[in-house]
Amino acid sequence: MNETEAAKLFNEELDALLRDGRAPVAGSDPGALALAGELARADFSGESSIRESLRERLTGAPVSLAGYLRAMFANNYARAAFAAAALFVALLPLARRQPGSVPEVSLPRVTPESVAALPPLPRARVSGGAPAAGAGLFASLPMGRLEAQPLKEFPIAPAGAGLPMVLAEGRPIPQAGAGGIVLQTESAPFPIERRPVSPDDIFERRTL
Amino acid sequence: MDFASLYDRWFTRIYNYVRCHVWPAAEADDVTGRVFEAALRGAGTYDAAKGPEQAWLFGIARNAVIDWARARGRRAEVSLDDAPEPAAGDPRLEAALERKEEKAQLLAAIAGLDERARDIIALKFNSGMNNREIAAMTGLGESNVGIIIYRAVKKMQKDIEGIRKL
Repeated sequence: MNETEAAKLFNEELDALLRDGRAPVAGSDPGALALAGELARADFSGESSIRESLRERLTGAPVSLAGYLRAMFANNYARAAFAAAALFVALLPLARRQPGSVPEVSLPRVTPESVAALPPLPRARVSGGAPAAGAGLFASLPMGRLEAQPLKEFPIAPAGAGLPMVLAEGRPIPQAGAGGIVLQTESAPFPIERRPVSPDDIFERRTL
Repeated sequence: MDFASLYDRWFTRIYNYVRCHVWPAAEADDVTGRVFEAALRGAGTYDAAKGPEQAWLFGIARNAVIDWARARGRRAEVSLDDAPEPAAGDPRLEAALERKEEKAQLLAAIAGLDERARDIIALKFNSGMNNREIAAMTGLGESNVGIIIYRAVKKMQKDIEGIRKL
């Protein structure tokens, strides 16, 4: 085979390599075809530092997301960092499901008297059916239910013997848009009112 | 013509073509920038009936490379230091260095070709044009282009084997 024939055969195999992305199985010159494959795969554009800036300057538009990602992943470090981040995100739910990783806290059951006087609340449950740890310690007051009731029917528990409470009717609270009741104890009236308040009503403002 | 999509389609190939001729990498950036500036200026005059898009674009790139070579009066001298540095802290530093070495060897082998062979090799592996189109662009015969490619690859193979034996 002379050089012209060898060159013709090599070029046919090279075209197949460039077209299909792989060298023929039984190439005429495997070494030369392997080098041709290296040349076909070689990409020096990762060295370029103007890809995005030039595009922006010439087109007035930032590089597309695909172009940006392509440029970003030309950097080996960025590829490794992205792979690590993706792995972390994928494993995060598994790490959260690890049982026994948080020690259970055993708290004494506390039932404040004020809460005990209220209608029983549905007990909060966690997924899995077990009662929540310390469920007796905190409880939500059913404010919506309380607010819907007339003021005079506000549930007042007896404070114990010796301190009887009665409702004193006909004592309006002189506040615009407010309402209330006056409870009469043995020694003094005890007003309970509902009215809008401002921070000044609650906090002391000190001045020099 | 949508210049932005043309840019996205061809930037890598044009840069690689330029890089086969131009060193160091910073100057390849300059020349590539000039190619696309010229393409943008001439986008209105491009006529698809006269030839494929890549023939027009690589024609501009060839002229930019020739201008660069004339201005610099340089000939191919590529050192291993011209290849891109791997990023600091790269977890696959060894593999990155190996790839850097391979790219540098390829660039050095390309630089060892005469100007005509280098241009044809750069066109063959980056432009997507076949031998007939390359022949039309360079003014050579199609069979001549084939022989130049064959000889160039064989010479590069020999040069790279020599480098790898060192």
